[in-house]
Amino acid sequence: MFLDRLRYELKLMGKRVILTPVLVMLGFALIAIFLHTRAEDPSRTLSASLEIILPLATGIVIATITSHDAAIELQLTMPKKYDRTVLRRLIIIFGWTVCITLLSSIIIYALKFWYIPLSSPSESVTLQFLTQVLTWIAPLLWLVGIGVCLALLLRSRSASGALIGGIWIFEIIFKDYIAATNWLHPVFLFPTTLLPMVGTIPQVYFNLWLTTRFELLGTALVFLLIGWLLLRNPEGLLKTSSEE
Amino acid sequence: MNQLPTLFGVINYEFRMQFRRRALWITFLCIALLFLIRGGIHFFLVFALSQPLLPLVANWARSLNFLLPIVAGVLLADRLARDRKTRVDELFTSTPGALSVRLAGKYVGSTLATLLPIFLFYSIGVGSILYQTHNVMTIPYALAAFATISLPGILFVSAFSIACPFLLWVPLYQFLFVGYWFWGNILSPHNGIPTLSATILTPVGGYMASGFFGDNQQLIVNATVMQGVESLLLLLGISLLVMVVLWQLMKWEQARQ
Repeated sequence: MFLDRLRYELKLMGKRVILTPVLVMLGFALIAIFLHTRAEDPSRTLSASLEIILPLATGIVIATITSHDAAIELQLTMPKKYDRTVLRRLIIIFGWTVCITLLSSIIIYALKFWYIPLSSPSESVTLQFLTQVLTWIAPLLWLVGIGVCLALLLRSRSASGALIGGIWIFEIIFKDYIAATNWLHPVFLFPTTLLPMVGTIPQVYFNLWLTTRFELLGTALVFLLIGWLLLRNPEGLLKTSSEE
Repeated sequence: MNQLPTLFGVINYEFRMQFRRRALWITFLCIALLFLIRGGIHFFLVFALSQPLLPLVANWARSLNFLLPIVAGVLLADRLARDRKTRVDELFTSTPGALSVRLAGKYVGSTLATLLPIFLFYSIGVGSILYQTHNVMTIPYALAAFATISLPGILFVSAFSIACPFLLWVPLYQFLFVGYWFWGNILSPHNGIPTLSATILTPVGGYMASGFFGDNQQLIVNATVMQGVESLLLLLGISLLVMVVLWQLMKWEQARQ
């Protein structure tokens, strides 16, 4: 039963949802090979693909999937609550992206192209790997959370995509300003690649990096909770199609 | 048949459809809040007030061009797909209005409506410059800067955003477009990755800002007027070419049906 539902949800969303993260990573693998052939270090580019690019793609796809269902009127008449259906779709997309990113992380780590901050040069392999996971899981979850919230609040796929794009570019252009402003730290998305924070760094900076990652995860969970509450408003969901 | 009334009719309705979208205004309002976070009530102008008036106005237009065309491009990406979704494209085919005229009307109407909040936002900054410099020349300079720096970039972005979703899934185009914006306008050419940044094919308008207005606090420094003209014409030419290619593709698709 569970597998059947999974299969149907995948069919409904289409192969493009599954293919997007795979194609993004393949594209970046080609760029990394190109850089390597030109004797340039591809570590930062590969880190950007995990920390910056894949979360953007996932955020936009999630915003599209959350606010739109071709048979929404029918869905709302079903005994199964629609918020659970959307939650299942979110878990599928997020889970699949995590799988692809995790696999890419392992390959990048094995090829010694990792780009992570370390508190000491003798840090264990497990801790190094967990640090690498933390570099991308926090922005990924944050952009998923904000994608859900914006899609349901604005009731427009395009508007939520536009805002996600705007926030994404804002985070890149004003990285130094955000880093220097304490109250913006809980929404500091990409410090590892952009500042950059890499190799053995002083303990105080490592702690700051770690704190911002956990704060980012916290704000992401808040957005997801708000999104789930918004999903339980059927009237709002019905209005979405009229806003397109 | 005279197609001019059809063209004005399409422009009128496309303009009103886009203009009346609450999402358009809310999105630009949220982006304005992002500017406020960075620069307080002076927006980006905290960087620039010490400059002479001409580069200052150009700096303001160019600064907006880093963020606002993204919003415009993503918001325009669903215009063509919407006709398919609401199944009115087949109905349009049965009307006497030519496909080329409908496409031109869609492009002009929806782009004009999207330009309106951008121009409004730009005018607030211009008002702030005027208030602080007490120089009335701010207004003609600002109009010239908008027409030569902001407008070509928006027209370029709009053409791609209307045309590309004909072939691509809209969210995929939106993602690729935002990624392109970073790669082709912001990424430094010294980064190792080949990029269009710092070439005359940058819709952010660096060559026009430097060549026409002497705004050199950016990636492009000391560009000539000729380079500015080349960049402007290239952006407009490519916009036109993209719309012509879209028209031919749609004609080919219709002929196959």
